This record gives sequence, structure tokens and C-alpha cells, in this order.
Amino acid sequence: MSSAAARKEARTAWLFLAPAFVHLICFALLPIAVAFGISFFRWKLYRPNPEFVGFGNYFSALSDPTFGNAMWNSARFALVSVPAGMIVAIGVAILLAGKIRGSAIYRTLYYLPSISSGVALAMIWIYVFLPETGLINTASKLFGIPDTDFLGKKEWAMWALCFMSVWTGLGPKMLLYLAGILGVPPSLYEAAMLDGATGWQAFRSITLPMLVPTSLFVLVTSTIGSLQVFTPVYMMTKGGPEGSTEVVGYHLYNEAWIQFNTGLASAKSFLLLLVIVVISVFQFRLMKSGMEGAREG
Amino acid sequence: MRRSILLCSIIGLLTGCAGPSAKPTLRISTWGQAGDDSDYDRLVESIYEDFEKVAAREGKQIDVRVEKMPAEYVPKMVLAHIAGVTPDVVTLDASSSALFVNNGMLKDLSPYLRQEPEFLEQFFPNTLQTAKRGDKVFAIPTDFTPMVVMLNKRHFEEAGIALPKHGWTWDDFLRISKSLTVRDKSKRRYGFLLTTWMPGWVMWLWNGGGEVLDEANLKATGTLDSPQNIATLAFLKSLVTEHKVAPALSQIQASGVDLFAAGQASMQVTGHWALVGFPKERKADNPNAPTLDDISVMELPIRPGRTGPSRTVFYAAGTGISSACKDPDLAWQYIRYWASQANQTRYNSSGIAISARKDVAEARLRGPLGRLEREFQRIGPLAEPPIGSRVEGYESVENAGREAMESVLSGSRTPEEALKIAAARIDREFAKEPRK
Repeated sequence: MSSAAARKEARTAWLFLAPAFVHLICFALLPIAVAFGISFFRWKLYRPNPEFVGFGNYFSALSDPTFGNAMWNSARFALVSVPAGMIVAIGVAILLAGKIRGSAIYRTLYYLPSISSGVALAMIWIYVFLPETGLINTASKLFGIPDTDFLGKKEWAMWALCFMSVWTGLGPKMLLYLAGILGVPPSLYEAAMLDGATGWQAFRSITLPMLVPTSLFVLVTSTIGSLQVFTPVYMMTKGGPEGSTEVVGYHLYNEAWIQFNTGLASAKSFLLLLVIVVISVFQFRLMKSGMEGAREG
Repeated sequence: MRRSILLCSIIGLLTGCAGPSAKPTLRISTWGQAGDDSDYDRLVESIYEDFEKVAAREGKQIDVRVEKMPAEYVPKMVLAHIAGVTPDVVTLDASSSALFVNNGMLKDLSPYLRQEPEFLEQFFPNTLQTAKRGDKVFAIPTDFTPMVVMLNKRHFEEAGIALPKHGWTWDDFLRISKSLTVRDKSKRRYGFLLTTWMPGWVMWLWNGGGEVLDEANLKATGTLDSPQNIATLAFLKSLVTEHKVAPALSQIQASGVDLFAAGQASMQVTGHWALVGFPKERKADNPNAPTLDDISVMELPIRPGRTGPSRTVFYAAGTGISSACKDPDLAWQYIRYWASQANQTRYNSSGIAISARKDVAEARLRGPLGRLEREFQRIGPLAEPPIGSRVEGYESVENAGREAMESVLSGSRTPEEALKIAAARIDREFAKEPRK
């Protein structure tokens, strides 16, 4: 290709990329940069004259027990919902990978929550968890299980949110695992069957190792998503009861839009970002070594 | 022919693209629902529309644009203020008005009021306190309601007990609650319905001799967790756990209904707005539900041995002119129209609250709900402004209070522990001063 043609191609490429770049700069990078700047100021959003405090907001955030509680709640949410979501997604993907009638319909049905409004889903789940008249309590009464106020009891509320997130986040995970399972060469299963392997042995020794790259990708993206959870908490528990479901996303919202501590909320956001980056780097390293292990295996 | 069609099209396009009408626009913000077509919505819409006609009669062609914000009203208004696009007229909730009044988001109305010195005399004096700072007035009240004990008289008759008398104490309240409670499972009824929502129980602290914040409104420690308040919370807890005259949180949740409106609770603390939900006639399909005739209201009881009258809070709405308003004269004209006797008589017909105008409120005494209006209006003028009308960020106090009550009623914390934690949390929120 001549240099003139290459330049023309590059120009065309930039032209196509430009809208996405402009959008990214205006609505992501620039606000992030401004928020980073704001994090060094003490600033009530509605008051003029923000005061420069250096890393003061970061020190305040680290010594704030409510922020610590929110970080702990986010960790609890991630530690339960991410592995549970992955296990359920693998199970559903395996079922759908088999030759069952109407699998396309099932795939659509399982994916549907992922493209539905988070607010609408939360409203539905409020009714599912309602004491006495809710779906779960009505069903459990048939088995003589006593009534439980899932969203009103601090022992239950976080579990209820995790349970809901497994269902609402199933679609994309299930699809990734399905692609991973369908990508396993059938010859491997044929060879295993000739060697007399059982279905469980084939799953343990072929399917699971082949799904390591998919699992690590799902792990990274799900962890990031679960640390940013906001909508179900805002809609269903408002961080209660007794702060037991106040996750970082909801805590930041309160700090920024109820208390209007803009500088402090920005600093807390960047601390969350730091945590996410550290976890992601660790998980990416795990992914790299896992993939190498899978290749060697 | 083709040429003339083309010409007509161009003229049509040009006239169509001539831009917005030159009429000035008056933007009004409110937290009402976005066109839910309820009776209330239609009433308010007609009032807005009529202002255009009123202005037209005076030779001013204007457009009134109402901007309804059904949720997150305060954050949206703060953002609008920062962007310099706040609507001209701002509807205010007294409970969060400190933020608007203290931070230059509203224009001082006193220059207009100086021209009409008698204007403010038409309002209940306590309602004016919410937006007054010294000689400056930042909003004109629309309506208000004191928080009262609402009673189901029919339950009193069935229990064979008399209605409480003025100056009743917590001992009287407990005795009455016990008499009203029906423990038979098929006819289960509670004497009292307690809420964890702090605006619904803060006045119990006052009547127990306590306060929420110190005198400077800067600290809760030493005040919210005072022995008086600990005793008050212990008393409220005992209603649920010891005396079982009020339902537990899980029982309230499990019922899925408003227990008082369903006739399953005999007393609750609430405001005038609750009256809107009661039918005039008993309904055959819901005979236990109280009608308006069954309802009576009374001030809150006081702790035995405490001297002084019963204290309560009022919650109120009002209107002010935003500091971004470019035509404050027009906005003031609207506020005068909105607050006029004729208009407030129309608005107050919704029955949601007591009109802040004395003449309109007095006229309601002669209406079909005169008895209830009289009971409310006996308490209303003595009620105190909400703390949020003086203290910015009071939402954090209410959140901490709700959590404290939740933890006490669920049994996870003692009243002392819960109040100490809440007070410390409030202090931290108030003193969020990043270290340099």
C-alpha cells in the first residue's frame, strides 16, 4: 500500500473512531479528571470557594467508619454474589449446551433480566421478598417454614440482594460460558469416552480446565460490577436495615447528593477505583498464570 | 404552480422556524408527580393555567412552565442552582429549606414585603419562621400540618374508654394503648402504630424532656444520647417488646397494609395529609376501615413529671424566588397570586394540609370537616418549625435516627447504645472537615 493510501485509510479510521473518542473524552475521561481534581478540595457543592486540602479528604475517608462499613459490605456482596453467579451460570450453560428442545427460548429467557431495567427488576424482587405475601414466603409456608422479612432483617438483607444479583446477572455470564463450552473440541470428549471416562470425569478434566480463561474473564468483570452495585440497594433497602446493605456505591451517592460533600465523595470514589484496580491487576495475573496452566495442561 | 407551492413551503418553513414565542416564561419547580392526572394534579394545573389568564388581563402575555420533579428534588435543585438554571419560583419543603435559605439560592422578599406591610399578617406566625432570617424573608408559606396523635374513636367506644384529655401523660397513653389492644388472633388490633421514620417520632424526644441537637445545632453527642432521650426510646421500645401494644417492625412489614387505615391499629402519629385517605362513608367491603367520622386528633402525651405544654413539629411547604430569576417582579406577582385568599381556598380544598393563611384555614372550620380542622388548628399554631428548616444536612440526622430506632426495635441494640452510635455518626457528618 502506498503511503498516500495508508494515510487516507488512517484518516478514514480516525473519522470513524472520532465520535467514540469525543464521547469518551467528554463524558468519561474529562469528568474523571475533574473529579480527581475536586478530590483535593473541601467543597460543599452549593457553596462557592472550594478550599484546597491536599490529601485531607483521602485521610478523612480512610478514618470514616461508615466508609469502612460500606467497603466491607461491598466486599461481602462481591464475595458471595460473584462465585455464586459463576457457579449458577456454568450450570445453566451446561444445560443449554446440551441438545434440549427450545434451548434458544431458554437462552433468551435467561438473558432477558440483563437487558431489563434495573429499577423494574428491583421492584419485582421487592414483591418476591415481601414478608407473608411475597413469592418466597408464600412458597415456603407450604413447607411449614416460618415467615421471614428478608429485606427488613439485617441478618438476611445482604443475602437477599446477593440472591437477586445472581439471577439478574445470569445472562451475560451464561452466554460467555455457553460460548466457552461450545468451543471445546468434541474430539477431546470422544477421546475421554474411549478411555472410559464418566460424565463427571469429563467435566472435571476437560470442560472446567477449558473454561479457565472464560472463568477468569467473568471473575474480573463480575467483581468490578459487584463493587459498583447501586440500583438494587437504592431501590430495595436504602442501605438498611442498620446500614447492613450500605455498599460503597450507595454510600458515595449519599455523600455526594444528600450531604453534598463533593470533595470527600470524589476522594472516596478514587479510593474505590484504587481497590478495583488492585483487585483487577491481581485477577489479571491470576488469569495469565491460569491460561498458561490451561495451555500446559 | 410548482413555483407557488415551493414559495408557500418556504414561507411555511420560515414561519414554523421562527423560534419560540416572544412571551416571557415563568418557570416553577415543584416535587409533584409528573402529570399523574389525579384530582390534586388537575387542581394544581388549573391554578397554574389561571395565572396566565390573570397576567393576560393585566396586559402581560406569559407562559407558565411547571417543572415537576417527583424524586430527588433537593439534589436536582442544587444542580440547577450551580448551573444557573434554577426555575424562577421554587417550591420548598420546610424540612429541607435550610440549604436553600442559607446558601443564597433564594432572593430576599423583604423589599416587596416592605411595600405591603400587612401581607405577612395574614399567615400563621409560626409558619413564617421556617424561611425567616433576621429581617429577611425568603419564602411565603403555602400550607402546613402539625404532627399529632390520630385516634380511631370507634375503637375507644368499643373498648369502653374515654378519649384522652389535654395534658395526658405517657402513663395515660400506655393505659389507653393496653385497653385498645385486642390480642384475639382473629380480631388482632394494636393500641398504637409506631414508625421508625424519625420525623414521625422526634417529638416523643421533646415530650420526654430531650432535644436532638445542642443549642448551636452543631453537635448531637451529649444531647441526642441524653438520659432523657434514652428513657424515651426505652419507653417506645417497651410498647413493642414488653407491653406488646404496638406491632413489631416485622409485623408491620408482614401486614403489607397501613394498619391504622385498615382498622388494625387505634392510634398513630401523623399529619393532616392522612385525612385524605379516609372515606366519608363506611364501605361494605371494608367495614373495619375508619371513616372520617371515626377520626379524632390529640396533641402528643408528655413524660410524667415533665412540666410545660406538649411539643410537636409542623411540616410545611412554601414558595420563594430563586436567585437566578431574571424577572423577580413577575415571580413575586405569581407568589402573591398563589398565596391569595381565592387561590388558597381552591388549593386548600384538596384537604391535604392546613392553609398557612389564617382566613382560609378559618373558613375550613365551617366546612364539612370542621370538627377535625378545629382539632388540627388548635395544635397547629403552637407547633415548632422542623429542625431541617434551620440545620443544613438534617437528612443525616434523620437517617441516623431511623437506624437507631430500627436497631432498638429489632433488639440488636439497647436504646443507650443506639443513641450513642447515632449521635457519634451525626457529629461525624456535621464535622466532616478534611484534615489539612
